[in-house]
Amino acid sequence: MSAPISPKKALAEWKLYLFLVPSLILILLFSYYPAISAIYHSFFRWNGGESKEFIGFQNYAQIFNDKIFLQSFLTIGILIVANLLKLIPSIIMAVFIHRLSSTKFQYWYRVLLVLPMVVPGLVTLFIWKFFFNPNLGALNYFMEFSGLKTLLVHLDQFFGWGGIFLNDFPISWLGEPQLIVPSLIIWGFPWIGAVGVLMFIAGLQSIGTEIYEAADLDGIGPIGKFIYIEFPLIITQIRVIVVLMMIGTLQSFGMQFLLLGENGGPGGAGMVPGLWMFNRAFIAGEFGYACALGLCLFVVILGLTFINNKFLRVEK
Amino acid sequence: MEQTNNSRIWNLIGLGLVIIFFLVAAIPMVWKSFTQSLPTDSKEITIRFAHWQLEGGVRRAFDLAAAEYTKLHPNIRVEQLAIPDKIYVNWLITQLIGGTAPDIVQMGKGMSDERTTRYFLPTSALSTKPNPYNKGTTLENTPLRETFIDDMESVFSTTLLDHYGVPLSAFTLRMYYNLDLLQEITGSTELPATYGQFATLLKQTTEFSQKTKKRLYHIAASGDNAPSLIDKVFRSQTGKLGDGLAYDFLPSTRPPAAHLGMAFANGEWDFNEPSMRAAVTLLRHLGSHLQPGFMQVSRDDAMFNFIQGNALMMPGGSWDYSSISAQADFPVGVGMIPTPLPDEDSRWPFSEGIISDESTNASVVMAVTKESRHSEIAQDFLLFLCSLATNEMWAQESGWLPAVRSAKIGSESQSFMPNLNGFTGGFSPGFSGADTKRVVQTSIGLAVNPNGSVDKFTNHLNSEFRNALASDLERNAIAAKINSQRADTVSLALYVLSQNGDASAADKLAIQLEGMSATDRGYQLGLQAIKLLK
Repeated sequence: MSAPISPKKALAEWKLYLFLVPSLILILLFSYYPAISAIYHSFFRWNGGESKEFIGFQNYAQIFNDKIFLQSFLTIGILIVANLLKLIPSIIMAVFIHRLSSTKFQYWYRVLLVLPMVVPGLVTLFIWKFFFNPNLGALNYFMEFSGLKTLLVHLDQFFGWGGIFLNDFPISWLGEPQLIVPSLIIWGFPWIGAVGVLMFIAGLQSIGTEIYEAADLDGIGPIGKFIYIEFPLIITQIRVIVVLMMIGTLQSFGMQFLLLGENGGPGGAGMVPGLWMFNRAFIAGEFGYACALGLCLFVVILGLTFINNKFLRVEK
Repeated sequence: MEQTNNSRIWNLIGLGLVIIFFLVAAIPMVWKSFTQSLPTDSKEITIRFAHWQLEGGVRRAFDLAAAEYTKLHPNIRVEQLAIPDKIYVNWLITQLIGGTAPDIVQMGKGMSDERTTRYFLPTSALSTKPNPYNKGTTLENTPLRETFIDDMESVFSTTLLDHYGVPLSAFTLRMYYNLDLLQEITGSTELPATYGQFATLLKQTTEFSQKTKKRLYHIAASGDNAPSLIDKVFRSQTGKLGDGLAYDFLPSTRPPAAHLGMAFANGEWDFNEPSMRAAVTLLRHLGSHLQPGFMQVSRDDAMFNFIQGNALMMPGGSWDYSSISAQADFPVGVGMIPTPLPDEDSRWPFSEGIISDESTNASVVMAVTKESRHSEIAQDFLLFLCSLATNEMWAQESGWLPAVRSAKIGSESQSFMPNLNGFTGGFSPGFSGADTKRVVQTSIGLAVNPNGSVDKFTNHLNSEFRNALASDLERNAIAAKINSQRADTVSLALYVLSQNGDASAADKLAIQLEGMSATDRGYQLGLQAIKLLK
């Protein structure tokens, strides 16, 4: 471990620190000022206008009685678990690409993965919205064509799901409260995230060939190589992706807003904390309360990130 | 050494490119902001106005009006910003708070009394004088207020006691239908006038669909147009219930939220009320004929279904006509939305009769923002927009109804003229604000889905409505309190002026006090209701 630099030495060329000033100002202005403003406004009854009334911790107290906000964590919890499972196809894809013997093919696969990234996220959302359309959507065509719908209708009758799948009616993916969370999980199929795959490939490429040669000599098969070599050595990348995914999922509401509207769809089944925050601010005009919700969400994200970093450790 | 030189050259090229691109981006911006801040008399002035009407005809009509205005005032350019309605509220609030709002914006979405007074210029002073652009017309000497079909009631705030903005159009709700298809199914070219006949038409459509093996939706609907239809269904059944409730009328044609809320809190009505159940039964019947999953369908998708000939009918406003008629390759009929009549069917004992368009006010309200650097020019442009000649041209080009009296309308707009015969109707459950609307809209599936029922809907509403109503009333009470505090200062000023012999101030004070008293009644009642609801 290197010795700490003395303050005298650190300040010897103090003028160099001036180069940091522009970035610092921008960060303070665009990152810290809004956050501080949100903390300040969370103690007010404020509708986004000029007048506001100081109400102390009333907004925070209200959160504990906010049934919709608390329920929205259940929905987001399900989505986080689903998103964790949805990382598996990306890992598998990364391993497949990594194991391709031809570097040329490896290159082209990477290119093919990166290409869809240029499509704006909004377009992807619109395409998926169209997929879910009960009358014209591709998903219902597939369900009819493949006979899966008939199976679902039988399952519905057998398990008594309450008629969410009926023979004469198209499946209303975003119109039935019970189907909303499953639809949000289906979203993005086959769940191969380009960023995730590229990060996993980067991790896999750092594994030396001698390790594979040793594994071959020990007679370890492809699955064994993944379990004993590849997976432990890309756990750092997995951890980073899991943290980013959790933060992204907890903060996100764009998908729910576009697919289901500001109320979270029928029965509010697709309501997530971010969408509720948006709803309170822009629909109900309760900006002060929305700020308090945002801070609550921040604490939850911070807590989850801390837990994640503490328990998902990399053994060096 | 050579490598160091090469690397230096590349670094210089990189730096040079960064500087060039920075200058290319920065110079036009600096130039633009510099030229815009020059004294207005020597340079071209640009007025920007924003709205959420993306319909082609409307944008074209606005462009034509802007071009006409520029002809009269060559140094003024008018630009329109058409913002999609889904993001309009967020966009507008952000622009207003950030002080970057355009000179004129369409009001309606995302407005509150506080935002209205804080960010918009009132038009009350203009309303009493004739519109200078009406010179040479029949409205030449008519005060601006009286040139509108609703005497500017739609832009008068009963809580702020001022006019804000001017209206450009009027909206009515109608049922569009595929005329060829209707003729093929029934032999008639007219939609049925009664709900019983309408139900027969729905049956005939099912039979036609089965016979021809054509997948045909009876009514194309979406999450955008269905709420208006649902509102009409409830109003058709709750008129008598509303009449029986003890409430005072504020200056409005419908019962105010605090009074209806108090009645709910007192147990005077709930969703087990026979008339409410009748409304839900009617909703279930009508809803079962709307395209499946309509609440998740966008307005464009519903329109697409109708225009493609996949649906016989589609509820929509007069604002939809230009888009539909331009795209449909079949003749489009426009009829009234049928609601049950009292003597028609014993199943609907709560119906009073045809629901009129009496509560239809002028709409597409445009107002000048206080942040506008050219507020006088912006107000002048508004006067130009709502002059007889321009509004007539605007209405004919857009296919929408005009807001100005005596403006001639095209034959195609006749079907949208407000029907003033009939009953005003009752109320729909989403009456008090964002939360009751949310509860009703997210529960519609319980009433209309194949697996839904009247009981499922009413039971759910009985359990969820209370909290939502309390939350809305609480918000309304806070707003009323702020309004009262604001009005105190104005009243004091008016009082001092009236004491000094200003007759108009005395008149205004009387109106102000009446409005404040009504606001206070609503506020007190709201507080009582909240106490009972919690």
